[in-house]
Amino acid sequence: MNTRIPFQHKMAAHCETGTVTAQLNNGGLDITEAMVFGISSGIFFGYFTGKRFPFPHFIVRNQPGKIRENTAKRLGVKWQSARFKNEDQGMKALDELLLQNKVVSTQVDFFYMDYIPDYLRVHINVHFMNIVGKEDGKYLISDSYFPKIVELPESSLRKGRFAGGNFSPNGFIFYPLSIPTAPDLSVAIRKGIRKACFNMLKLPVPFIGIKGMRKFAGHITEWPKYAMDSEHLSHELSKINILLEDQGTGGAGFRFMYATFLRQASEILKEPGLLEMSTQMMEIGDGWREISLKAARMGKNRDMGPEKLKELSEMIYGRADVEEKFFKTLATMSK
Amino acid sequence: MKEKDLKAEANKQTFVMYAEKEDGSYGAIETGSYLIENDLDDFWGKMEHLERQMREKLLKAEISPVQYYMVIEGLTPAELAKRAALPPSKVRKHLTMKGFESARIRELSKYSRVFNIPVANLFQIVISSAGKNIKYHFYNKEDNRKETLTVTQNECQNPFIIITKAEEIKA
Repeated sequence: MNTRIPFQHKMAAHCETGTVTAQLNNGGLDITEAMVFGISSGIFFGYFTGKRFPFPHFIVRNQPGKIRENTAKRLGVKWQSARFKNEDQGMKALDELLLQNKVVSTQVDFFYMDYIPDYLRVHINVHFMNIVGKEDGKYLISDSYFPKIVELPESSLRKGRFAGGNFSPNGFIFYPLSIPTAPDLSVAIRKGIRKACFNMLKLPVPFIGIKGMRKFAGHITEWPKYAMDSEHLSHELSKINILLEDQGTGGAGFRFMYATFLRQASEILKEPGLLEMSTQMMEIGDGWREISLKAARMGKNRDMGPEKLKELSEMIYGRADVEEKFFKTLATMSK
Repeated sequence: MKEKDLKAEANKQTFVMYAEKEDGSYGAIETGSYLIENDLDDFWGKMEHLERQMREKLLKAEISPVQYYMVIEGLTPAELAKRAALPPSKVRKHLTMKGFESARIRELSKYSRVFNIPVANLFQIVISSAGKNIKYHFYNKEDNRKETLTVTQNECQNPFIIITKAEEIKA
């Protein structure tokens, strides 16, 4: 089969918000990636340790899949989705949808995406992208992280869609059945903000939200215990920079994207208070960026002594304090 | 974050970042990466260090090829077991050479799919003229100059056969 569906490819900061935004734009809804992120309560923090992780790990966004789910709840978008036990059936279903001229979003393990440079490819089962056609046995991929539509061999897409492990995609695909052209953004924005504040302040688990940030701050001084050697510790410190900046966050662990959302929200809701919060969030992001740059320098210079780790820890505690104050204020504004 | 600060970081890998634009608005900007601009060689160096460390252990038969690839690809035994659809106890066994000796070809085939390597590469390390495993060829400029051959591995219809081809790099 040979088919190429007309599709406006655009780069985006983050894969899931980029994929969903592109689908919405393609379906006629004029909405930005930042707005999709904010409405979906994407901003988050979590710090994890334990056997499931080769090294302590933090995240800065909500659970994968929630962006799509929350756009359905808050914007009224109807998504059709499917998972497959059988690989052949999953590939066949994808081909059939492409033949019907449907742009199909899919979840894959990033590691098998051949068009991404080696140094960016890691095993992570929650990469999202749009498939916009198939030519000469190769799929045409619109990936938010790549500047143009690229080709991917069938075998690589199959491995990516059916990689097992945590968050296994099981061939997951989705596409819009209906997209409202003029949804009530003001209601969606308020709901999105309220849920984000709840996640950051009130989720009753000690490793999520502000509590998670403080756990991260307190625990980072113990990282040398988890590292195989100084090179490994250096690598893990550099990864702080990757996770906050380069791994599809739009900078500062999504804080700059959230500041952009708040600015757009203030215009839609005509609330100058949100404009002020947007400026504050940009400053909070600048603080996170200082952390990521410091961690990168520490890793590069192998300057990872207890004093330096303590300094990094204090900086993270500082972010927890300002974000706690920020989200408490934002919560009162969104009532 | 201001747009002008991002522009200073622009380089070959394009990313989208959010920042305050020159007109005072906030929005998306296509730019480069701090890490790639400043730390890529160091990043390669660390990955090479890890690969060399694990390769030495593998060559001394202190670890199995399964453990070699698992560590380099940042997987835990539990995650590898899930991905390969094998019992965790079996995966733990296959991490040692003694356990690896008793692995079945079908099981090795499952590992090779996870690691994205031919099954044959669980029994060999194909190295480039710069002495690196071609699977983990973390290029830097100096090593690029040393390369005299390119080595590619192509699949065929037989899932257990791989065609390994070495070609001279023409100046």
